[in-house]
Amino acid sequence: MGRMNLTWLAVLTAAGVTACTPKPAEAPKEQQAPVAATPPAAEPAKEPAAVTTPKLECALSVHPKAKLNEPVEVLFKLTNRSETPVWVLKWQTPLEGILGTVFQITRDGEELPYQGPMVKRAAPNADAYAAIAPGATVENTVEVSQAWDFKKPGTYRITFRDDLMDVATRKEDVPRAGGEYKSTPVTCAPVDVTVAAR
Amino acid sequence: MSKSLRGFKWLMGTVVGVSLLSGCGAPPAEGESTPAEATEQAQGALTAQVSVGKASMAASERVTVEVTLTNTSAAPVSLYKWDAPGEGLNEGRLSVSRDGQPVEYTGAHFKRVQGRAEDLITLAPGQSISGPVVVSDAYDLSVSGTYTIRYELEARAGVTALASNSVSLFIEGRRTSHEGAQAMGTVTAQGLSYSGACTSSEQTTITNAYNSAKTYSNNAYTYLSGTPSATSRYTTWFGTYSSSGWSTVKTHFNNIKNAFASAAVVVDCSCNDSGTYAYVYPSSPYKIYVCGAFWSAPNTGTDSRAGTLVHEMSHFTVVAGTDDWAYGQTAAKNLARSNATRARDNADSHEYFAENNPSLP
Repeated sequence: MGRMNLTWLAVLTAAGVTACTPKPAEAPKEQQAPVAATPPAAEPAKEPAAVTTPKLECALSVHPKAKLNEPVEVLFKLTNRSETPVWVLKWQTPLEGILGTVFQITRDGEELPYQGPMVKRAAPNADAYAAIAPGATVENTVEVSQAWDFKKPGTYRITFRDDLMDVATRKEDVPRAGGEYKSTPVTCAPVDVTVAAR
Repeated sequence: MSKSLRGFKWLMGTVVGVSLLSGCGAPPAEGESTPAEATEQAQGALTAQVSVGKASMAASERVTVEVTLTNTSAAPVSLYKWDAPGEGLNEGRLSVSRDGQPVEYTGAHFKRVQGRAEDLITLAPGQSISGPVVVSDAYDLSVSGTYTIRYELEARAGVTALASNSVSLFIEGRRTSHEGAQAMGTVTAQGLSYSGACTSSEQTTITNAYNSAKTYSNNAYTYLSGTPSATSRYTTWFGTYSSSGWSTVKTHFNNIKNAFASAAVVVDCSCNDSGTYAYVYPSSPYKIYVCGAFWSAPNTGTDSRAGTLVHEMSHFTVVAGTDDWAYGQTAAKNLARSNATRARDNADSHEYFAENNPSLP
């Protein structure tokens, strides 16, 4: 599928070094749809079913220490804490890789310019959505050092953009007709990684 | 002379975008010099390296080489900024020959005030400076042939004479740059070029879209140069009116129209994804990758080819630095209502304002 094409582009380009040689960069592994829910044991106390705003929980993780010039990878996880399935548009989230400013990243408090691609998209198809069963989690790991400059020592703070472009609660809304997306705020706690020379 | 001035401005504007002309669609390394040639020629304090991204250039293409100077000594080295790439190298620092014969430098010569500290660039030990140098603006490329290009600097205070490796490439003869600028019409004169194997019919489609994008951005800027107020066209796409918000958007369109008028834009056709109109790397002006959905879009109107080029141009950090916060007219209108600050930072909002479809007063 053509999308793959863009995904590897997104992965390998970035820092502008050898933006053009299509080495087989590892495509971000993507969890296939809402396989099995996490064990019921992991389920927290039942919440009153939120009808309007689906309860989504977002988490970032990164190894807190990295060596200079080694890749920095961030794991993004989105968990459905409601009792009904949801469908999340993957655009501008790490679930599709890095095809936009999915993160804001600072080095010692200073914001870093984004060096990856920005993409103008046609209307989404169903494949552009990740289905998440109740209690289930979808996740993806992205290499942020491909799209931001991690080549200096320092403490880097990685913050997800606080917004999912579209979240549907009914299968018939996937993909959303007429561009009537329901953007949904979601907050992930920022994570820090310290990059040291040795 | 306006032609050299334009070249100069372009150089100044693209310090960041060094490798963008090295054609991503072209087979890698094909246009590079042979390994032997590519070896840096150490000459005292500085070394110079020249590279090109393509092995051949059509008459319609702007010819640039990438020049990198590196201070390989243990002490800082200063040189005049007009001798350095990226900072405005616009005099005869290149040695150009065609089939072994020297090619005349036809660019401007400058009378310089020497010795001013503000005109000096200092390279620390180990530091490099690199940037594109436009060959087609300043050398006689009227005859087709294999051209050999080298960067040379004669000895001067504090800098040993140096010469880079040579690169060779086939250049299709073009009208001399001055005549060419007049004869080639509005678009090619500003250096719209192509990479990633655009077919000739695709090139025609892109040229039409580019001209319409230019009209769109000129019209948007003219509109914003009128008396600022809460017009429906403004508030529909950028939300609640404020004079500072209006002025931000006006600055954006001033930069967008200027970029369409004078930047060296490269449009790349190598992406085929049907779910995508186009993409750019905002930190690499002015290369725009067009994809599958671009070709099925109309030339003008909502989500058109011309509008897509406006969208992409707005992304470049050196232009308007916009982001993608909402896609599509409906979402862009909602964004204007919910978050005007983000609407002013949203590429599609700029596109729809420029397309103005349906037309709003």
